[in-house]
Amino acid sequence: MLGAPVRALAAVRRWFLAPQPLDGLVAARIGFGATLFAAYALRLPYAQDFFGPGGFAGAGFYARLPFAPPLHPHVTETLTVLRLVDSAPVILVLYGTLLVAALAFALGAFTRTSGSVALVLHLLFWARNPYAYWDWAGFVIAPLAYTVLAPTGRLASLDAWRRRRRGEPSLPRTATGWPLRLMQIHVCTMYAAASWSRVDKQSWILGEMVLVALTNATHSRFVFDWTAWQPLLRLGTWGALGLEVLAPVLLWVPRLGRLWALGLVALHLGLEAVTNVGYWNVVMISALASFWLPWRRETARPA
Amino acid sequence: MGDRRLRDAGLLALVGYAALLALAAWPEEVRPGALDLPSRLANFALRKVGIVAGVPVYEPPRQRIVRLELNDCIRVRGFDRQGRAEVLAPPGGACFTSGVRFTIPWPELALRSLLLRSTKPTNQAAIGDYFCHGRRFRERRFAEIEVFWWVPWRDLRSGETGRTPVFVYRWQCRPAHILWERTGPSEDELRRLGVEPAG
Repeated sequence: MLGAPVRALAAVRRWFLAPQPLDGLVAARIGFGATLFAAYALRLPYAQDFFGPGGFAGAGFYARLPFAPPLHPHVTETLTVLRLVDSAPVILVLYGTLLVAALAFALGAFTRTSGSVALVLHLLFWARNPYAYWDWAGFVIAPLAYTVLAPTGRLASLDAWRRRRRGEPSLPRTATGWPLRLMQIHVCTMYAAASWSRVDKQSWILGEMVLVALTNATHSRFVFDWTAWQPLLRLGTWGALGLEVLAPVLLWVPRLGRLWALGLVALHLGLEAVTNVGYWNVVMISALASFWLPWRRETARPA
Repeated sequence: MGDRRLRDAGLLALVGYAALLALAAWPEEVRPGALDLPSRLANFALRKVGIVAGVPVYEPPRQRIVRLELNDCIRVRGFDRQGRAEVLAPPGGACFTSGVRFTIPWPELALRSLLLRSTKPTNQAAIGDYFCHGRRFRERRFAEIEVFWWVPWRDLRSGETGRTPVFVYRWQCRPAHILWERTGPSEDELRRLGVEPAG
């Protein structure tokens, strides 16, 4: 009588906990680390304007308007602690620490420590002022945590290189599967949130949304009158809609899922070429690696 | 036995977290009504700790878009005690609506994000106060700050062009508070308020 639930529980346990290749999460580690480093390095001239005491809704603002709520409307107030830091040098030191930690994480140096520091500081800076970025900065937090929790320093890292130099044996290319599973689930929830709401939007259904986006200087790198290209853009709209709407289902289908992931990577590369959406595309391409790496599965199985 | 219990508790936590993600990401357009409240609660709980299950991207209104919006143009002017105005953003006072640009300047991005994605009145206060007292502007000792947001557009069918004023407000620097605000002002009202036309 209890056979079916017990078997189901065993299947869930196997799905979450059985060893999985680390390659996809390692690619995500490099992508997320490099993204954070680039994002914060390029914002350096505006660091004090975005995050400092004299910047948007900084400590000076709260001294003048003590009853104003935090700029971030959703996170718990404790996380917005940086808005109360009344010292520009302290903000600069934290900012510099985040830059170093993000670079070290991308390179795989002291991977878990550098990743944890980068994660916590990015969370605090984002909670202080989420409007200094596009929405990718909020989305990346949990996927970044999965790459910190998994032993992603074992591959393609300075940590692995140091082990080899010391003559120590390489660590396994596989590890417990739950961080990978959480990454995969999160990729799917992202595409569901992004695309399922489009099914009742006429501009998407009629194939006009790419034209709309490319015409708007908020998103487009090439702001022209694109109406002459509408037939081609219509195909692009429907292609993007189909890829994203079906992703949460088809990414799980054996073999097809990997091709679907590569299709989504191609979509994001195309979007990156023509649109300005911050680091959305790099973040999604990095996260999608969890579905298609390693390409040859047999090479990554445990001995 | 203890190890096994711990592992099962961990597994339960993983399954629970995955369920929260799925619930939070499920858009209301395709969500069964019974899941409405659980979905909102899941979203609320995850966002409290900085976890975003998913984000609607390129989210248009339900009806077909016939007016192509060329940009969200935001102009900020500072006024000294004598009422003399100086355009503080965007640089040169002109809104970008045509051409090639590979990145959006950070101040433009931040202003746009604050006005469009943040909530009133915090965003009004944050912008007004920054241009009054921010490190780049405090030396100029402005008395008031005016923020004007409009959308230039082109009609998809007729090719006609125009602009829609969305919002304008005036912020007083000392003591800090909003002097007035108008949502969807007409061009006549803008003239009466002394909001000069913007390019």
